[in-house]
Amino acid sequence: MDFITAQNLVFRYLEEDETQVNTKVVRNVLDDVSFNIKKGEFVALLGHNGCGKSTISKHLNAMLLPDSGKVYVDSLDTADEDEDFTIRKKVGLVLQNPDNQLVASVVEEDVAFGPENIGIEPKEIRRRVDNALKAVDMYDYRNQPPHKLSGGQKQRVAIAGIIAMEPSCIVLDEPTAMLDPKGREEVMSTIKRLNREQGITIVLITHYMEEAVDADRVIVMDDGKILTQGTPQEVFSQVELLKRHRLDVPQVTELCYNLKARGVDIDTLSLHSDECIEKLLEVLK
Amino acid sequence: MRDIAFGQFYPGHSLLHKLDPRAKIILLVAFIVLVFCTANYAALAVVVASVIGVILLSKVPLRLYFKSLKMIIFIVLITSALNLFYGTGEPLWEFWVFKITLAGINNAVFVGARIISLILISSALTFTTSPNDLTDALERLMKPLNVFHVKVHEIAMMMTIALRFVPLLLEETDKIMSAQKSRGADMESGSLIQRIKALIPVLIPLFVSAFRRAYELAVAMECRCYQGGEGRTRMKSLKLSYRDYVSSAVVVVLIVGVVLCNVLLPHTVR
Repeated sequence: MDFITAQNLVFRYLEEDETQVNTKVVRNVLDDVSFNIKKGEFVALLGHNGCGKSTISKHLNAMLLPDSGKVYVDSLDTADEDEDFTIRKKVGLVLQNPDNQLVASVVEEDVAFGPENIGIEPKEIRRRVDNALKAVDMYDYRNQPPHKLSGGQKQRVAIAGIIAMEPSCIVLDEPTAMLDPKGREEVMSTIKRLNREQGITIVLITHYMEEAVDADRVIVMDDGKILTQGTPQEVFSQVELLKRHRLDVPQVTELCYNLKARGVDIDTLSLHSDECIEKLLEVLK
Repeated sequence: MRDIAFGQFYPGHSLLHKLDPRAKIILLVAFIVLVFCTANYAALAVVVASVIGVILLSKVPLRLYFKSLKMIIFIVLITSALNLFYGTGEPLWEFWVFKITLAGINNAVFVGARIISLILISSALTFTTSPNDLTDALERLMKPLNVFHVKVHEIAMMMTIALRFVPLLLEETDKIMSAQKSRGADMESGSLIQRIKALIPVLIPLFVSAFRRAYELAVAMECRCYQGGEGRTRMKSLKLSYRDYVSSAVVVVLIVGVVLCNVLLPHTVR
């Protein structure tokens, strides 16, 4: 069995009807969604705002339970209340706004918050906190108050707070949405390094296509359903499908696609700028 | 707005900074009792001398101590003045209903000196202890209250979170004020009531955002397995060192000194 298995997830809530006052309509935020995530994999979950991707993130650590369907984390059913904390130890969730997820007013004490909650020995907490801060390259800031740090640094501290609980999987819900380009770069390289060097499974929820190109697998969501999934190459080669659902493709992919549409003989599938430059050079020769 | 010195902590490496926060709190309480036990000038001299000693040991700039005194100087003056005229005994000076006696002068001096000592010694605690250490120490000291179903851990957690969010909310207030000003809000002119009314468009968005933050924080805490104080461990365990024992011994010597002064010498005040 894969590390995370989601089977036919349905999640709905009542919503105010816009056409009629005081009537509620049922809205399916997730509509029959199934996917699985293997151990050590780096999966990017793409989609518009309101397509249900944040709802999925909260299903993966039992913060939300599906109205129908099942989520299994390491063979544990998230609907089993006794296993809530076991599941949250395995799957850490990093939220969008770094300010609202830091608890203590000293960096290292915040990172210690998780391990303290699960009753780890003080010496072991110290070791985990130091390792976690080194893993996100924030060790030198351990005695600083969070409000003196930049957005990217705060988000890295939040990631360290999750790593200190030694999870097998980290789910990041748009971790870069509130950051400047520099902070975004810091957070992305940290995530990739954790995946590569420590083998932590990463589920990155984002609406930046550029962040998804380095993933092992991309799942594209639209309106509560999975639109398509596969390797970044497979997904981003379907430019028409993505366009039809008002989703972007990486800029270089779009450039090649448009060139080809104008009759230039170029292979449309490039995800990185270096790749694209090579192809352009070939055409221009 | 952001420069509000919260908790007035002054980072440093003095002996007082290194003391265990629990020891500091207990010694402070002992010292406060001591200040009120002084019954004659000899005892008062011991107390004043030790206050000066503590201030010098803290290595905190004197101007910070003056600042904390400035806030209460009126209280000191008023209570001293009242005491001055309420003495009993042979009047030294008399005018209409006012009379000043020797006992009155003594009372005034004692009250003034006691309040000033109190403020200075408590400031020494807040100057040399970070708010985090204070919260932590209070949580540990109040632990026995758990028996009476006082939610000690919850109170300490609330204090921690409040400390964390004060700078954030101050920053946010600044932002909202600028945003409202850029939309033409006038917050600086008009009568007091008008100015208070002008704050409403700042407070409402601030409250809304504080609730949103609180909700998100609760989600984040739950994601990090927070389940209350039960079964929780701490990374930093406080340990008493030789410094704490030495300072406790010094305070015991002070207590003995004050008691001796009180017993051996005649009392000047009740």
